[in-house]
Amino acid sequence: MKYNGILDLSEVVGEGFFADKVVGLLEKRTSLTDYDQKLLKDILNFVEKAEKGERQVESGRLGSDALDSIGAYSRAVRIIAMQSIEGGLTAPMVQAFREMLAGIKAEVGEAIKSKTTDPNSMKKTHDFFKMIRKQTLSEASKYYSRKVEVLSWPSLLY
Amino acid sequence: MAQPSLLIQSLINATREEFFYHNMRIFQLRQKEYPFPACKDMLQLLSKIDDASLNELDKLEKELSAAEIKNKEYLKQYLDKIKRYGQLVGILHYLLTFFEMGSREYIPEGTRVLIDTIVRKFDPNATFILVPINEHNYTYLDLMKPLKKALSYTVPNIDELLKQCSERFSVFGFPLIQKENSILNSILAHEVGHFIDDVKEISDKLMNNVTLDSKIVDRIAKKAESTLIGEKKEIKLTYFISPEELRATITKLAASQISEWLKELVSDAIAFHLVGPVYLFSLTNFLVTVIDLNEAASDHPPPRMRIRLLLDIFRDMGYPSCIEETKGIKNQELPSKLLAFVQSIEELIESADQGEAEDFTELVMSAVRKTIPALRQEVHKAVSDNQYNPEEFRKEVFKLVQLLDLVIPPAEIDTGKPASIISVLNVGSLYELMQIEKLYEILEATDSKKQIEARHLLHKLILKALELSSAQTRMGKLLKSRD
Repeated sequence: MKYNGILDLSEVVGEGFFADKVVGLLEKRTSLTDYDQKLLKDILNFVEKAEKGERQVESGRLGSDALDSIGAYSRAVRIIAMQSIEGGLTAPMVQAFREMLAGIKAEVGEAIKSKTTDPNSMKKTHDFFKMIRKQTLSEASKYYSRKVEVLSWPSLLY
Repeated sequence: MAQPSLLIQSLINATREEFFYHNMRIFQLRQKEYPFPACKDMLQLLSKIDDASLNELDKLEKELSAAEIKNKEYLKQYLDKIKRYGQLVGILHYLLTFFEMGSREYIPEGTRVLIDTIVRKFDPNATFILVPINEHNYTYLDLMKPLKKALSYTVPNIDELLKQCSERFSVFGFPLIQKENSILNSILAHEVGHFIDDVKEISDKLMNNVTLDSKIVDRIAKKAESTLIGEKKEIKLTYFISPEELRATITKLAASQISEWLKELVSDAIAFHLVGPVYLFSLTNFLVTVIDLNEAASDHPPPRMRIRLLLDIFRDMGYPSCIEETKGIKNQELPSKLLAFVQSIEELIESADQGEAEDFTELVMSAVRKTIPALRQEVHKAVSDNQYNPEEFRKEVFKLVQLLDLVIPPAEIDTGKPASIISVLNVGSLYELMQIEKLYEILEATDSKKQIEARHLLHKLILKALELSSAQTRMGKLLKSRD
């Protein structure tokens, strides 16, 4: 593994553990512990980063947190695109992105307020992080195996 | 009560074994002697992380034994959770490799002195180690970063564990084969530059000044849309991914590359401020013998851009005029020969064909170029109090050459007065470039084999001088404190 690779892999594995915890929490009806509350607040931080990322991509003006923010935005957009394969995109991507984040914010905000989680009322957040869980596992696996990617399109940019 | 399947149980145990053997290796490494006491602290932390991860696996096992594996989806969930721990072992294993080679027999004392002097000048309490690495490169990694990133949601008491260590744990790496190449190892100053950049967040702040050229972004997006052309019709990438994803990915890749390039340029500038011309010469040798001047990588700007920056700082810090004014030295030609050499580097990087950059490289390059004036200003602010000055270079380096003429380690500027560590490095470089013929003559090195051995001897003299100068400085301080 190259030197920078270890930082990227740690980031993906860390994000994956975060998603595991979120999905685990949202699958049961439970009163929130301090740790759970922190976890929910971290979801809101993630949403905020993705929103910042969208602004940076749209304007081209980067910020000191560009990598984190654009990474979160990019992750969110990819998830919406993946979800749309099954259900179709009901609105333009930008609108779908904003609706998705607004939905997550509302669900998480409510849970923090009521200090409980209810799987029935947190479906958007649950499904979103379930996708992150899946994506991070697959992304981290790539560091341990060499896969031939004929259509790895970012390489086409060069 | 339902029992977990034998397969899952076996996978959990296999992962447990990995943490166990990782921990066992840590125990063995803790018996070694390291030149940096911080090594043992980090090994202890890694061992605690192994224990904590094993606890988490125990919890997972209990959860599993209480659950009922209802269907394939359920089974997959557990497999995924176990896999995540397997991936974590990979990270911890990688971090441990630094300690395999960090023991005393692999680190010359002179190189330890060099890195110690440069780092402590900036931060007397910094925690760091120096290790030879398998990759033919010089590297910097703050080990706390991957640990924080990977473990924040893994081990419940991670904050408590990390608090017991210092905020940063820097690992400076140099190529295994360059153990005794004291002059080339001045490139370690660049790695210290990364450390200073991390502390002062210079390149992060510079990202605030970056604006991407939207025309080029559009051009790249358009190109990517029609890249694949099938037999009968054009297949657009936007059939598979949304334009928003495409734009986000282009921006993400550009931001990542710009950030990497800025980190490299900031570290180059810091290195020059800290150790002076030796860095310009060593980096030029290191890069130009391996990479094309215009070769841009995702994590490094092209050598032309890096060397250009150093030449500009060399000029703006006043080295040329200061060197020109050198008087009263034995070899009167030396200053002008040195300036002519710098001029030849200048001509080399200006004469080569610059070629036409690809769209993506142009996007990154134009953004980075615009940031360079701010970059130089920020670096100057960050290190000007600890920088090596042209005046010091002129006063010490030309004088120390005379010791090397006598095959004496250039450790003292006058009787009882140790030379600065950085001047020792610079005189080594100057001698190797301008006056090595004298050493060949003394050692009767007439063929290339003997000449390369003579150069190796020079490197050893410099290593010895670094060691002696440091010992003498410490001794002086000790005697002074007794008075």
